[in-house]
Amino acid sequence: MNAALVARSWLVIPLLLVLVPHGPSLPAWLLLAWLACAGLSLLGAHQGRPWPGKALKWLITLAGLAGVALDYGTLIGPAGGVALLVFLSGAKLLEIEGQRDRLGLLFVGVFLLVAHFLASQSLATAAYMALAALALAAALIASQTPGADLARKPFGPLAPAASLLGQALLFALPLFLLFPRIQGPLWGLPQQQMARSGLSDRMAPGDISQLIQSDELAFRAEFAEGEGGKPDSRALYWRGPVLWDYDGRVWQTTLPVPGHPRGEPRGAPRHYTLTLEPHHQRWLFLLGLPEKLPDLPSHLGPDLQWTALHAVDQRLRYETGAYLDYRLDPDLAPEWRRRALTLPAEGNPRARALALGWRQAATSEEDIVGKALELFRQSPFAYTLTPPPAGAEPVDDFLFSSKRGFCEHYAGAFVFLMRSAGVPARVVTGYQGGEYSALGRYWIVRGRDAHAWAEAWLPGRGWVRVDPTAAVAPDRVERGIGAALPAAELPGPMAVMNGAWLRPLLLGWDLVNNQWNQWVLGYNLERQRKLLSRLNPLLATLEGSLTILALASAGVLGMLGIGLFARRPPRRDPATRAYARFCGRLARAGLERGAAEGPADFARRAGGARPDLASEIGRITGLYLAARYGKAEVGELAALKTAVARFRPGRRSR
Amino acid sequence: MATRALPYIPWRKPRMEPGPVHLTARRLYILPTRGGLVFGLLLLGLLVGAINYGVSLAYLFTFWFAGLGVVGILHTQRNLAGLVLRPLPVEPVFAGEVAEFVLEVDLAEGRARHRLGIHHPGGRGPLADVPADARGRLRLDLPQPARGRHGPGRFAVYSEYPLGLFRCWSVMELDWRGLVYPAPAGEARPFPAALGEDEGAVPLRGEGAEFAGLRAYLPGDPPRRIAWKALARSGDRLVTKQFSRPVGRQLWLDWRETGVADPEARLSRLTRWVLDAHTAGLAFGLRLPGLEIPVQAGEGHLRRCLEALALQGQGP
Repeated sequence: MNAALVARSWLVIPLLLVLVPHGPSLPAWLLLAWLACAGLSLLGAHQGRPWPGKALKWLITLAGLAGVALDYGTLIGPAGGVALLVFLSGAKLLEIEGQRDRLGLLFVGVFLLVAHFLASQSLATAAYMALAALALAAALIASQTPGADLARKPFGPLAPAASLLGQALLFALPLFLLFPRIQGPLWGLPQQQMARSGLSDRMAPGDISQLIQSDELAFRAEFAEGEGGKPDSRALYWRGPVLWDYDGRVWQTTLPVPGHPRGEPRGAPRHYTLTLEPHHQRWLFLLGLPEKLPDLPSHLGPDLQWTALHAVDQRLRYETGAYLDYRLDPDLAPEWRRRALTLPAEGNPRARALALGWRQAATSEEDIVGKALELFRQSPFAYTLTPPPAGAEPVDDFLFSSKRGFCEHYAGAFVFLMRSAGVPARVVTGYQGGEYSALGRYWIVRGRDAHAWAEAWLPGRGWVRVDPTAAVAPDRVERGIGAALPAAELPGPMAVMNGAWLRPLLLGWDLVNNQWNQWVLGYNLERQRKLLSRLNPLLATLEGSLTILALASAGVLGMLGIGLFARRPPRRDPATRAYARFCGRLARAGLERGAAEGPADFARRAGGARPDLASEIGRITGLYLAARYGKAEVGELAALKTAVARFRPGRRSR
Repeated sequence: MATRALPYIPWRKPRMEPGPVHLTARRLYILPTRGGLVFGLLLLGLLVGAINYGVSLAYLFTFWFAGLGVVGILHTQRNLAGLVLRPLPVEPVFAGEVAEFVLEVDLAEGRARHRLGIHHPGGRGPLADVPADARGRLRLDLPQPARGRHGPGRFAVYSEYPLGLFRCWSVMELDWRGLVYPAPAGEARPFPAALGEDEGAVPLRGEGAEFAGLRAYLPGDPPRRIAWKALARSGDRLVTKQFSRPVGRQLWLDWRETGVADPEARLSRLTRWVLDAHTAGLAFGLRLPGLEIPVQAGEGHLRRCLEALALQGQGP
């Protein structure tokens, strides 16, 4: 094969492998330009043509710079910088002159490979990038290999590259474990517009039902062992945004809610660790009344809404305890009471009238709550993801005509009724339940577990959670959304999830991903400290970890050095092996060859001791000496081998 | 690192060795190449990025590539360690030609070695591979401007295999010199007449020396040979008489009979004559200050004469 073409392919293909994952985030013109450059480069190498002239090269480079600058508005930063490097690597393929150019291109490949982890760090990405790293390492070796050798064995560099990378992993792993992690960015992270996901800070009809159709992972939660086993999924109300204000259509919190919660815990807390997937918003999720909040830049409002100071753009892991039984705000401050009773001045007259009727008939707030729940339970309300579109009076329409709705309809209508009846109430959104993975003993909470419920303030009891959905579709809370919805309404992925045979597989895959997230991606300062201090408290200090890192590296280096440089015992030539076999047989027959005894002397002595074998011993020794020290002839060696194979001295039969 | 400086790291002059040289780890040096330095900076940048963005896999892969570099050090050194270098005799050349210095590479251990080369202040030799259980050769071509016995001086044997990120080398100076004969004078000139011991006593038209013709005068022609009669005839041009010697007569090439004054020019002239005489199949003797090589013919005699010319005035 054409040597130049093979050498060029060893640049183009590894770079292409690194570029492929970047592809979706790059503009199409850039990809086409790169591919065109690569194709021209290969063609040029194949035909042995010279590079394009200097003027043309400058023109191409300038055009690319202008294109990237126009497309991204910048030439630096993660996105623009990567695009620029991609373009330049393509242009450089048109003028590779020497070793320096090749190395430079491969270094760009290394950079692009690592840069892609900003976009994705999944297990599959890591596996793919490990292959790309192999290709890059092999390309480094190929750049050092003469063209003729490459042409003869185009894949020759792969094996040494794999062995080098395998040895390199021995260094990388202790470094990864022990290298001191530094918390927080060294400089400001660029503001990137990321699509938000999960719950939002407003609840309009239809918002949550859309979320429920997604199988997107929200978070995983693992409860501490030995605190009463697996918690009841009915108790798992993962609290997210609390919505105070209603404008007749949308529930949201328009004004901040200052202050701190005043809660009284009862019973023992349950401790859990929650690993939140990045949703690019600020909510953090909580169970019940938190025992002690983790050390995160965040704020916990009086309504137990926990907000981070910055959007969660990276997977976040926190540990906390929750009192599932608690009393919140036993005395409600007047301004909170007012806010929890506010409704738009007009609208939904039938609902207001109904609530007023309850108020007049009721003896206590509990009574009113009970009346509302009874309404939901007794009227023919249906739980459905596809309610009719809301009209001008959404609450009236829902309560008195359509009677079909989803958790957001029930929670919204319930709070509306409560406020109309003079009972302070608010909407709480979050997630309810989740899927329990018995394999990993953690809960998987997905978009479809999104839920909305209500809280009503009752004198003496404080804020009490009321879930009107549970009154309509108890299955929603008891067995999850899949059980509560009519089968025809199940979203696609959920229908698959309900397939029994696939379930363990999917849960197993989730476990692998979770371990990956926890131990590889989530290996941060805190994790590192915890792991190292479990091994030895000394390790958790900076000096300790650096010392052990130095020791580990030296150890690996030493072991590799010994392995690589150790002299292997010289391979004995076939004649010597055959002769050794012959001596072994004689030894078993009682004739041991002395350490310093030459073959001829030994043959004489052995022949004297065993006259019956003397001629055979002499013949073999002669063959051996001829094969070993005479001119190497294949015939003698073969004769020696067969003679030794037939040589059966046996015990002396005397 | 300026690669030109390679044979001077370390600066200390190496011990002169007769060879063969056994490349033990003790005498191997290793430093990153320019590419290796760039790679190091790249990894540093990636590490800063990994810290800044808190990307765990970026840490992992950066460390992985760093490990590749470290393992590369071992492998680069391993590519040179254990070699036995044996200087081969150098073919003599004439001054102004290129002498070929060849090191035979023997494997102390059976592994194949790749991309070995010689680095010399005067240039680099081509890279060569040594297959497993075989011998290889490293070549260094050095132009030789002056006659005498010359060696390459200090040089380095180096390799950057497998990654090109590190360069391992060993500096050595071997007692390894090749003969450089004087450059033969460019112009063919007739051999000097067969002269006796005493220049003045020998008759011009000696026995057997027959007049062969005239040629233009060249500076250095003895005045006795100038054809004064011809000068008288032509007026202004000096002409020299030439005599040819019948085959079989003794030819002495003499330091004093070259017709030039400068010692190096004399040696060049003599070299030319020696070569011409050898080519013509003549037997000849060579007289140099303090040395006389009796009249003989043949390849060995030629070499002996050329060697004497090369070393004239330079000791053995």
